[in-house]
Amino acid sequence: MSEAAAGTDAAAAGAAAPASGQPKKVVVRFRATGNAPILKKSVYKISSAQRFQALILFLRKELGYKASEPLFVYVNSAFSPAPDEIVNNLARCFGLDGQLTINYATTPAWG
Amino acid sequence: MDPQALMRKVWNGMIPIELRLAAADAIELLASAVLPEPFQTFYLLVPRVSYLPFITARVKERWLDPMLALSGTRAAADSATIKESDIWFEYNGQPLKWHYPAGLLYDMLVGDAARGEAELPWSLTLHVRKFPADKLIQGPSTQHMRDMFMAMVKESDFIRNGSTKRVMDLAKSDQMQLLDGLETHSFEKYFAIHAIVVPTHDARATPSASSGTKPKSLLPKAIPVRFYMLSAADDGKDGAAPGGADGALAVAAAAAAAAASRQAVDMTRFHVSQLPVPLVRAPPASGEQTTVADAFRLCYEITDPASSGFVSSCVCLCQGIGVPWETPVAWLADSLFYADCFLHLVVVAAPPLS
Repeated sequence: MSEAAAGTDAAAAGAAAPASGQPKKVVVRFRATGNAPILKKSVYKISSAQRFQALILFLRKELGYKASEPLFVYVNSAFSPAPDEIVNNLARCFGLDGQLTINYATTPAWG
Repeated sequence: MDPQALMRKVWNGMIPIELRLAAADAIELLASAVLPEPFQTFYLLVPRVSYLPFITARVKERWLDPMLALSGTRAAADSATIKESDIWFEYNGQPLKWHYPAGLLYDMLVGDAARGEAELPWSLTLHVRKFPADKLIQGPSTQHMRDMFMAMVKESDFIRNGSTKRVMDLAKSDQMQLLDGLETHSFEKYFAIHAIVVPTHDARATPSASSGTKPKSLLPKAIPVRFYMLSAADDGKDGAAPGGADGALAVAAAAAAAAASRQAVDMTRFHVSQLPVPLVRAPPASGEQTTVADAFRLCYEITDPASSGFVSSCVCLCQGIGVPWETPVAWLADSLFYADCFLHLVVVAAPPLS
Protein backbone atom coordinates (compact mmCIF):
# COMPACT_ATOMS: atom_id res chain seq x y z
CA MET A 1 0.00 0.00 0.00
CA SER A 2 2.93 2.38 0.46
CA GLU A 3 3.06 3.00 -3.28
CA ALA A 4 -0.62 3.86 -3.43
CA ALA A 5 -0.32 6.16 -0.43
CA ALA A 6 2.66 7.88 -2.00
CA GLY A 7 0.66 8.39 -5.18
CA THR A 8 -2.16 10.06 -3.31
CA ASP A 9 0.37 12.26 -1.50
CA ALA A 10 1.87 13.30 -4.81
CA ALA A 11 -1.51 14.39 -6.03
CA ALA A 12 -2.22 16.20 -2.77
CA ALA A 13 1.16 17.91 -2.90
CA GLY A 14 0.31 19.31 -6.29
CA ALA A 15 -1.31 22.66 -6.88
CA ALA A 16 -4.18 23.16 -4.50
CA ALA A 17 -6.94 21.51 -6.47
CA PRO A 18 -9.85 21.26 -4.11
CA ALA A 19 -12.65 21.56 -6.62
CA SER A 20 -13.40 18.29 -8.29
CA GLY A 21 -12.98 18.57 -12.02
CA GLN A 22 -9.74 20.49 -11.58
CA PRO A 23 -6.93 18.34 -12.91
CA LYS A 24 -4.70 16.98 -10.16
CA LYS A 25 -0.98 17.57 -10.37
CA VAL A 26 1.90 15.18 -9.90
CA VAL A 27 5.32 16.25 -8.65
CA VAL A 28 7.95 15.03 -11.10
CA ARG A 29 11.70 15.11 -10.49
CA PHE A 30 13.92 14.86 -13.57
CA ARG A 31 17.39 13.39 -13.17
CA ALA A 32 20.03 13.38 -15.90
CA THR A 33 21.99 10.17 -16.45
CA GLY A 34 25.30 9.71 -18.21
CA ASN A 35 26.27 12.81 -20.17
CA ALA A 36 22.73 14.12 -20.62
CA PRO A 37 22.47 17.86 -19.92
CA ILE A 38 21.09 18.91 -16.55
CA LEU A 39 17.91 20.98 -16.33
CA LYS A 40 18.07 24.37 -14.58
CA LYS A 41 15.07 23.36 -12.55
CA SER A 42 14.58 19.66 -11.89
CA VAL A 43 11.21 19.50 -10.10
CA TYR A 44 7.95 20.26 -11.90
CA LYS A 45 4.26 19.82 -11.25
CA ILE A 46 2.60 18.07 -14.16
CA SER A 47 -1.09 17.37 -14.72
CA SER A 48 -1.83 13.81 -13.63
CA ALA A 49 -4.22 13.19 -16.53
CA GLN A 50 -1.43 13.68 -19.08
CA ARG A 51 0.09 10.85 -20.99
CA PHE A 52 3.75 9.93 -20.52
CA GLN A 53 4.26 11.21 -24.09
CA ALA A 54 3.38 14.75 -22.91
CA LEU A 55 5.99 14.45 -20.18
CA ILE A 56 8.62 13.38 -22.74
CA LEU A 57 7.69 16.30 -25.02
CA PHE A 58 7.88 18.69 -22.06
CA LEU A 59 11.33 17.37 -21.16
CA ARG A 60 12.49 17.71 -24.78
CA LYS A 61 11.27 21.30 -24.85
CA GLU A 62 13.05 22.15 -21.58
CA LEU A 63 16.26 20.57 -22.89
CA GLY A 64 15.86 22.24 -26.28
CA TYR A 65 16.07 18.83 -27.96
CA LYS A 66 14.74 18.28 -31.46
CA ALA A 67 12.61 15.24 -32.24
CA SER A 68 15.52 13.77 -34.21
CA GLU A 69 17.92 13.84 -31.25
CA PRO A 70 17.90 10.64 -29.20
CA LEU A 71 16.46 10.82 -25.69
CA PHE A 72 15.75 7.81 -23.48
CA VAL A 73 13.35 8.36 -20.61
CA TYR A 74 12.92 6.02 -17.64
CA VAL A 75 10.99 5.74 -14.40
CA ASN A 76 12.97 5.00 -11.21
CA SER A 77 16.14 4.09 -13.16
CA ALA A 78 14.31 0.93 -14.13
CA PHE A 79 12.08 0.89 -17.21
CA SER A 80 10.53 3.01 -19.98
CA PRO A 81 6.74 3.25 -19.80
CA ALA A 82 4.72 3.21 -23.03
CA PRO A 83 4.07 6.76 -24.31
CA ASP A 84 0.32 6.36 -23.78
CA GLU A 85 0.52 5.47 -20.09
CA ILE A 86 -1.20 7.99 -17.84
CA VAL A 87 1.09 10.01 -15.54
CA ASN A 88 -1.32 9.51 -12.63
CA ASN A 89 -0.99 5.72 -12.91
CA LEU A 90 2.80 5.99 -12.97
CA ALA A 91 2.77 8.27 -9.93
CA ARG A 92 0.49 5.89 -8.02
CA CYS A 93 2.55 2.84 -8.90
CA PHE A 94 6.09 4.20 -8.84
CA GLY A 95 6.04 7.51 -6.95
CA LEU A 96 7.95 7.72 -3.69
CA ASP A 97 7.53 10.38 -1.00
CA GLY A 98 5.11 12.23 -3.24
CA GLN A 99 7.47 12.40 -6.22
CA LEU A 100 7.77 10.54 -9.47
CA THR A 101 11.43 10.19 -10.46
CA ILE A 102 12.13 10.40 -14.19
CA ASN A 103 15.63 9.61 -15.46
CA TYR A 104 16.75 10.65 -18.91
CA ALA A 105 19.77 9.81 -20.99
CA THR A 106 21.05 10.36 -24.51
CA THR A 107 22.03 6.69 -24.87
CA PRO A 108 20.11 3.61 -23.66
CA ALA A 109 20.74 3.28 -19.94
CA TRP A 110 18.48 0.58 -18.53
CA GLY A 111 17.71 -1.54 -21.56
CA MET B 1 -6.82 -28.47 -12.34
CA ASP B 2 -3.06 -28.60 -12.34
CA PRO B 3 -1.83 -24.97 -12.47
CA GLN B 4 0.53 -25.78 -15.32
CA ALA B 5 -2.35 -27.22 -17.37
CA LEU B 6 -4.42 -24.10 -16.67
CA MET B 7 -1.56 -21.82 -17.75
CA ARG B 8 -1.24 -23.83 -20.94
CA LYS B 9 -4.97 -23.48 -21.66
CA VAL B 10 -4.80 -19.71 -21.20
CA TRP B 11 -1.62 -19.51 -23.27
CA ASN B 12 -3.34 -21.47 -26.06
CA GLY B 13 -6.34 -19.14 -26.20
CA MET B 14 -6.70 -17.97 -29.82
CA ILE B 15 -8.78 -15.46 -31.70
CA PRO B 16 -9.65 -16.28 -35.31
CA ILE B 17 -9.16 -13.10 -37.32
CA GLU B 18 -10.51 -12.23 -40.75
CA LEU B 19 -8.59 -9.49 -42.54
CA ARG B 20 -9.73 -7.29 -45.41
CA LEU B 21 -7.61 -4.63 -47.03
CA ALA B 22 -8.90 -1.07 -46.69
CA ALA B 23 -10.56 -0.02 -49.96
CA ALA B 24 -8.56 3.20 -50.27
CA ASP B 25 -5.31 1.28 -49.83
CA ALA B 26 -6.39 -1.35 -52.37
CA ILE B 27 -7.05 1.38 -54.92
CA GLU B 28 -3.65 2.91 -54.30
CA LEU B 29 -1.82 -0.42 -54.53
CA LEU B 30 -3.80 -2.18 -57.24
CA ALA B 31 -5.85 0.55 -58.88
CA SER B 32 -8.97 -1.37 -57.88
CA ALA B 33 -11.02 -1.56 -54.71
CA VAL B 34 -11.81 -5.20 -55.48
CA LEU B 35 -8.91 -7.52 -54.80
CA PRO B 36 -8.21 -10.40 -57.19
CA GLU B 37 -9.25 -13.92 -56.16
CA PRO B 38 -8.23 -15.55 -53.83
CA PHE B 39 -6.86 -12.52 -51.98
CA GLN B 40 -10.07 -10.83 -50.89
CA THR B 41 -9.79 -12.02 -47.32
CA PHE B 42 -7.02 -13.47 -45.21
CA TYR B 43 -7.68 -15.64 -42.17
CA LEU B 44 -5.36 -16.41 -39.31
CA LEU B 45 -5.38 -17.46 -35.66
CA VAL B 46 -3.81 -14.98 -33.26
CA PRO B 47 -2.89 -16.03 -29.72
CA ARG B 48 -4.71 -13.86 -27.14
CA VAL B 49 -1.41 -13.27 -25.32
CA SER B 50 0.42 -12.16 -28.47
CA TYR B 51 0.65 -8.82 -30.26
CA LEU B 52 -0.33 -7.59 -33.73
CA PRO B 53 3.22 -6.64 -34.87
CA PHE B 54 4.17 -10.31 -34.48
CA ILE B 55 1.69 -11.26 -37.21
CA THR B 56 2.38 -8.46 -39.71
CA ALA B 57 5.36 -10.22 -41.29
CA ARG B 58 3.20 -13.30 -41.93
CA VAL B 59 0.33 -11.19 -43.30
CA LYS B 60 2.71 -9.40 -45.65
CA GLU B 61 4.54 -12.51 -46.85
CA ARG B 62 1.55 -14.76 -47.35
CA TRP B 63 -1.10 -12.29 -48.42
CA LEU B 64 0.07 -8.84 -49.52
CA ASP B 65 3.29 -9.80 -51.31
CA PRO B 66 1.80 -12.61 -53.43
CA MET B 67 -1.22 -10.42 -54.18
CA LEU B 68 1.01 -7.62 -55.44
CA ALA B 69 3.24 -10.03 -57.35
CA LEU B 70 0.26 -11.48 -59.22
CA SER B 71 -1.50 -8.25 -59.96
CA GLY B 72 0.78 -6.89 -62.62
CA THR B 73 2.19 -3.55 -63.56
CA ARG B 74 1.57 -1.14 -60.74
CA ALA B 75 2.81 -3.58 -58.17
CA ALA B 76 6.33 -3.28 -59.47
CA ALA B 77 6.36 0.46 -58.97
CA ASP B 78 7.72 2.09 -55.86
CA SER B 79 4.27 3.34 -54.98
CA ALA B 80 3.29 -0.23 -54.16
CA THR B 81 5.94 -0.89 -51.54
CA ILE B 82 4.63 -1.68 -48.08
CA LYS B 83 6.63 -0.91 -44.97
CA GLU B 84 6.11 -2.91 -41.78
CA SER B 85 5.91 0.35 -39.81
CA ASP B 86 2.99 1.56 -41.97
CA ILE B 87 0.79 -1.47 -41.33
CA TRP B 88 -2.07 -1.01 -38.86
CA PHE B 89 -5.31 -2.73 -37.98
CA GLU B 90 -8.76 -1.25 -37.57
CA TYR B 91 -12.03 -2.49 -36.10
CA ASN B 92 -15.29 -0.53 -36.50
CA GLY B 93 -13.39 2.64 -37.26
CA GLN B 94 -11.04 2.20 -34.30
CA PRO B 95 -7.30 1.90 -34.95
CA LEU B 96 -6.06 -0.96 -32.72
CA LYS B 97 -3.29 -0.18 -30.27
CA TRP B 98 -0.60 -2.53 -31.49
CA HIS B 99 1.20 -2.63 -28.15
CA TYR B 100 -1.86 -4.12 -26.39
CA PRO B 101 -2.24 -7.92 -26.35
CA ALA B 102 -4.68 -9.19 -29.01
CA GLY B 103 -6.96 -10.74 -26.37
CA LEU B 104 -7.18 -7.47 -24.49
CA LEU B 105 -8.16 -5.60 -27.67
CA TYR B 106 -10.89 -8.14 -28.36
CA ASP B 107 -12.23 -7.92 -24.80
CA MET B 108 -12.26 -4.10 -24.94
CA LEU B 109 -13.92 -3.76 -28.33
CA VAL B 110 -16.10 -6.85 -28.60
CA GLY B 111 -16.34 -8.07 -25.00
CA ASP B 112 -18.54 -10.96 -26.00
CA ALA B 113 -18.53 -12.64 -22.60
CA ALA B 114 -20.23 -9.54 -21.20
CA ARG B 115 -22.42 -8.53 -24.11
CA GLY B 116 -23.56 -12.03 -24.92
CA GLU B 117 -22.54 -12.13 -28.57
CA ALA B 118 -19.26 -13.34 -29.94
CA GLU B 119 -17.87 -11.93 -33.14
CA LEU B 120 -15.89 -14.77 -34.60
CA PRO B 121 -14.00 -14.62 -36.76
CA TRP B 122 -13.08 -11.13 -35.62
CA SER B 123 -13.33 -9.02 -38.74
CA LEU B 124 -10.56 -6.42 -38.98
CA THR B 125 -9.48 -4.02 -41.69
CA LEU B 126 -5.82 -3.90 -42.60
CA HIS B 127 -4.31 -0.58 -43.57
CA VAL B 128 -0.93 -0.03 -45.20
CA ARG B 129 -1.21 3.74 -45.71
CA LYS B 130 -2.05 6.86 -43.66
CA PHE B 131 -0.77 5.61 -40.30
CA PRO B 132 -2.87 7.36 -37.60
CA ALA B 133 0.08 8.82 -35.71
CA ASP B 134 -2.25 10.80 -33.45
CA LYS B 135 -3.89 7.64 -32.15
CA LEU B 136 -1.19 4.97 -32.23
CA ILE B 137 2.44 4.84 -31.18
CA GLN B 138 4.50 5.35 -34.30
CA GLY B 139 6.71 2.79 -35.98
CA PRO B 140 5.24 -0.62 -35.14
CA SER B 141 7.71 -3.38 -35.95
CA THR B 142 8.73 -6.72 -34.55
CA GLN B 143 11.77 -5.17 -32.85
CA HIS B 144 9.83 -2.20 -31.46
CA MET B 145 7.24 -4.61 -30.07
CA ARG B 146 9.94 -6.75 -28.46
CA ASP B 147 11.44 -3.65 -26.81
CA MET B 148 8.08 -2.42 -25.56
CA PHE B 149 7.18 -5.87 -24.31
CA MET B 150 10.41 -6.14 -22.28
CA ALA B 151 9.69 -2.68 -20.82
CA MET B 152 6.25 -3.91 -19.71
CA VAL B 153 7.77 -7.04 -18.14
CA LYS B 154 10.17 -4.78 -16.22
CA GLU B 155 7.31 -2.53 -15.14
CA SER B 156 5.36 -5.50 -13.79
CA ASP B 157 8.49 -6.83 -12.07
CA PHE B 158 8.92 -3.45 -10.37
CA ILE B 159 5.34 -3.58 -9.08
CA ARG B 160 5.76 -7.14 -7.83
CA ASN B 161 9.14 -6.80 -6.23
CA GLY B 162 10.05 -3.13 -5.90
CA SER B 163 12.85 -3.41 -8.45
CA THR B 164 13.51 -4.84 -11.90
CA LYS B 165 16.22 -7.12 -10.54
CA ARG B 166 14.61 -10.40 -11.62
CA VAL B 167 14.38 -9.24 -15.24
CA MET B 168 17.73 -7.44 -15.27
CA ASP B 169 19.43 -10.54 -13.84
CA LEU B 170 18.26 -12.63 -16.79
CA ALA B 171 21.03 -13.55 -19.18
CA LYS B 172 20.70 -11.98 -22.62
CA SER B 173 19.98 -15.45 -24.02
CA ASP B 174 17.16 -15.90 -21.48
CA GLN B 175 15.59 -12.57 -22.46
CA MET B 176 15.81 -13.65 -26.10
CA GLN B 177 14.18 -16.97 -25.24
CA LEU B 178 11.31 -15.21 -23.44
CA LEU B 179 10.73 -12.99 -26.49
CA ASP B 180 11.14 -15.81 -29.00
CA GLY B 181 8.75 -17.94 -26.96
CA LEU B 182 6.14 -15.18 -27.15
CA GLU B 183 6.73 -14.38 -30.81
CA THR B 184 6.62 -18.02 -31.94
CA HIS B 185 3.96 -18.93 -29.35
CA SER B 186 6.05 -21.66 -27.74
CA PHE B 187 4.73 -22.47 -24.26
CA GLU B 188 7.88 -24.35 -23.20
CA LYS B 189 10.30 -21.65 -24.31
CA TYR B 190 8.33 -18.82 -22.76
CA PHE B 191 7.45 -20.48 -19.46
CA ALA B 192 10.97 -21.71 -18.75
CA ILE B 193 11.94 -18.03 -18.37
CA HIS B 194 8.62 -16.79 -17.00
CA ALA B 195 9.11 -19.16 -14.04
CA ILE B 196 12.32 -17.28 -13.16
CA VAL B 197 10.70 -13.85 -13.41
CA VAL B 198 7.50 -14.82 -11.58
CA PRO B 199 8.19 -17.81 -9.34
CA THR B 200 4.96 -19.64 -8.61
CA HIS B 201 3.67 -19.67 -5.10
CA ASP B 202 0.57 -21.27 -3.69
CA ALA B 203 -1.80 -18.31 -3.68
CA ARG B 204 -4.62 -20.45 -2.39
CA ALA B 205 -2.90 -20.90 0.93
CA THR B 206 -3.29 -17.92 3.22
CA PRO B 207 -0.25 -15.66 2.91
CA SER B 208 0.86 -16.30 6.50
CA ALA B 209 0.70 -20.06 6.03
CA SER B 210 2.53 -20.01 2.72
CA SER B 211 5.30 -17.83 4.06
CA GLY B 212 5.91 -20.52 6.67
CA THR B 213 6.55 -23.21 4.11
CA LYS B 214 8.03 -21.20 1.26
CA PRO B 215 10.75 -18.59 1.23
CA LYS B 216 9.03 -15.29 1.78
CA SER B 217 10.86 -13.73 -1.13
CA LEU B 218 8.68 -15.74 -3.52
CA LEU B 219 5.62 -13.79 -2.46
CA PRO B 220 5.21 -10.61 -4.48
CA LYS B 221 4.71 -7.32 -2.64
CA ALA B 222 1.82 -6.50 -4.91
CA ILE B 223 0.06 -7.69 -8.06
CA PRO B 224 0.36 -5.55 -11.21
CA VAL B 225 -3.25 -4.87 -12.18
CA ARG B 226 -4.57 -2.64 -14.93
CA PHE B 227 -8.28 -1.90 -15.34
CA TYR B 228 -9.78 -0.66 -18.62
CA MET B 229 -13.18 0.95 -18.30
CA LEU B 230 -15.26 2.98 -20.76
CA SER B 231 -15.43 6.55 -19.58
CA ALA B 232 -18.22 9.07 -20.14
CA ALA B 233 -18.05 10.88 -23.45
CA ASP B 234 -17.89 14.35 -21.94
CA ASP B 235 -15.18 13.94 -19.32
CA GLY B 236 -12.85 16.07 -21.38
CA LYS B 237 -9.46 14.64 -22.15
CA ASP B 238 -9.12 11.03 -22.97
CA GLY B 239 -7.72 9.20 -20.01
CA ALA B 240 -8.72 11.89 -17.53
CA ALA B 241 -9.29 10.30 -14.18
CA PRO B 242 -12.89 10.16 -13.10
CA GLY B 243 -12.71 11.25 -9.49
CA GLY B 244 -14.20 8.92 -6.92
CA ALA B 245 -17.62 7.36 -6.97
CA ASP B 246 -19.29 10.15 -8.96
CA GLY B 247 -16.85 9.68 -11.78
CA ALA B 248 -17.25 5.93 -11.62
CA LEU B 249 -21.02 6.22 -11.79
CA ALA B 250 -20.81 8.52 -14.81
CA VAL B 251 -18.54 5.94 -16.35
CA ALA B 252 -21.01 3.17 -15.60
CA ALA B 253 -23.84 5.14 -17.18
CA ALA B 254 -21.79 5.66 -20.32
CA ALA B 255 -20.87 2.01 -20.48
CA ALA B 256 -24.48 0.95 -19.97
CA ALA B 257 -25.64 3.31 -22.71
CA ALA B 258 -23.00 1.95 -25.06
CA ALA B 259 -24.00 -1.61 -24.29
CA ALA B 260 -27.71 -0.88 -24.67
CA SER B 261 -27.38 0.76 -28.07
CA ARG B 262 -24.66 -1.66 -29.13
CA GLN B 263 -22.86 1.30 -30.64
CA ALA B 264 -19.28 0.96 -31.70
CA VAL B 265 -16.97 1.23 -28.72
CA ASP B 266 -14.58 4.16 -28.96
CA MET B 267 -11.08 2.98 -28.11
CA THR B 268 -9.98 6.41 -26.90
CA ARG B 269 -12.75 6.50 -24.32
CA PHE B 270 -11.28 3.73 -22.24
CA HIS B 271 -9.98 4.97 -18.95
CA VAL B 272 -6.94 2.99 -17.85
CA SER B 273 -6.23 2.70 -14.16
CA GLN B 274 -3.20 0.92 -12.83
CA LEU B 275 -2.25 0.19 -9.25
CA PRO B 276 -0.07 -2.22 -7.32
CA VAL B 277 -2.75 -4.32 -5.62
CA PRO B 278 -1.72 -5.77 -2.25
CA LEU B 279 -2.25 -9.50 -1.73
CA VAL B 280 -4.22 -9.00 1.45
CA ARG B 281 -6.80 -6.44 2.50
CA ALA B 282 -5.92 -3.44 4.61
CA PRO B 283 -7.24 -3.32 8.19
CA PRO B 284 -9.85 -3.86 9.55
CA ALA B 285 -10.27 -6.87 7.27
CA SER B 286 -6.54 -7.55 7.27
CA GLY B 287 -5.49 -11.09 6.58
CA GLU B 288 -8.24 -11.68 4.05
CA GLN B 289 -7.22 -11.96 0.42
CA THR B 290 -7.82 -8.96 -1.81
CA THR B 291 -10.68 -9.61 -4.22
CA VAL B 292 -11.19 -8.26 -7.74
CA ALA B 293 -13.90 -5.93 -6.35
CA ASP B 294 -11.41 -4.62 -3.73
CA ALA B 295 -8.84 -4.01 -6.45
CA PHE B 296 -11.41 -2.18 -8.58
CA ARG B 297 -12.42 0.09 -5.67
CA LEU B 298 -8.76 0.79 -4.85
CA CYS B 299 -7.97 1.65 -8.46
CA TYR B 300 -10.89 4.03 -8.88
CA GLU B 301 -10.75 5.34 -5.32
CA ILE B 302 -14.33 4.31 -4.65
CA THR B 303 -14.91 4.48 -0.91
CA ASP B 304 -18.70 4.78 -0.82
CA PRO B 305 -20.09 1.52 0.62
CA ALA B 306 -23.24 2.08 -1.47
CA SER B 307 -21.14 1.46 -4.56
CA SER B 308 -21.55 -2.31 -4.33
CA GLY B 309 -24.62 -2.06 -6.55
CA PHE B 310 -22.60 -0.26 -9.17
CA VAL B 311 -19.79 -2.79 -9.01
CA SER B 312 -22.16 -5.73 -9.35
CA SER B 313 -23.82 -4.05 -12.34
CA CYS B 314 -20.54 -4.40 -14.22
CA VAL B 315 -18.77 -7.41 -15.61
CA CYS B 316 -15.04 -7.86 -15.24
CA LEU B 317 -13.36 -9.65 -18.13
CA CYS B 318 -9.99 -11.31 -17.84
CA GLN B 319 -8.64 -13.25 -20.82
CA GLY B 320 -12.16 -13.21 -22.25
CA ILE B 321 -13.64 -14.78 -19.15
CA GLY B 322 -16.15 -12.99 -16.93
CA VAL B 323 -14.58 -13.38 -13.50
CA PRO B 324 -16.65 -13.16 -10.29
CA TRP B 325 -15.94 -9.97 -8.32
CA GLU B 326 -15.15 -11.97 -5.17
CA THR B 327 -12.26 -13.84 -6.85
CA PRO B 328 -8.98 -13.28 -4.98
CA VAL B 329 -6.65 -11.24 -7.19
CA ALA B 330 -3.75 -13.54 -6.30
CA TRP B 331 -5.60 -16.49 -7.87
CA LEU B 332 -6.14 -14.62 -11.11
CA ALA B 333 -2.53 -13.47 -11.12
CA ASP B 334 -1.44 -17.11 -10.94
CA SER B 335 -3.10 -18.18 -14.15
CA LEU B 336 -4.95 -15.51 -16.14
CA PHE B 337 -2.01 -13.12 -16.58
CA TYR B 338 -0.95 -11.89 -19.99
CA ALA B 339 2.55 -12.51 -21.33
CA ASP B 340 3.77 -9.18 -19.88
CA CYS B 341 2.91 -10.56 -16.39
CA PHE B 342 0.16 -7.95 -15.89
CA LEU B 343 -3.46 -8.71 -15.11
CA HIS B 344 -5.39 -6.74 -17.73
CA LEU B 345 -9.03 -6.46 -16.61
CA VAL B 346 -11.73 -4.97 -18.82
CA VAL B 347 -14.80 -3.64 -16.98
CA VAL B 348 -18.00 -3.28 -18.99
CA ALA B 349 -21.65 -2.86 -18.07
CA ALA B 350 -23.50 -6.14 -17.59
CA PRO B 351 -26.02 -6.91 -20.33
CA PRO B 352 -29.60 -6.07 -19.33
CA LEU B 353 -31.53 -9.06 -18.03
CA SER B 354 -33.81 -10.50 -20.64
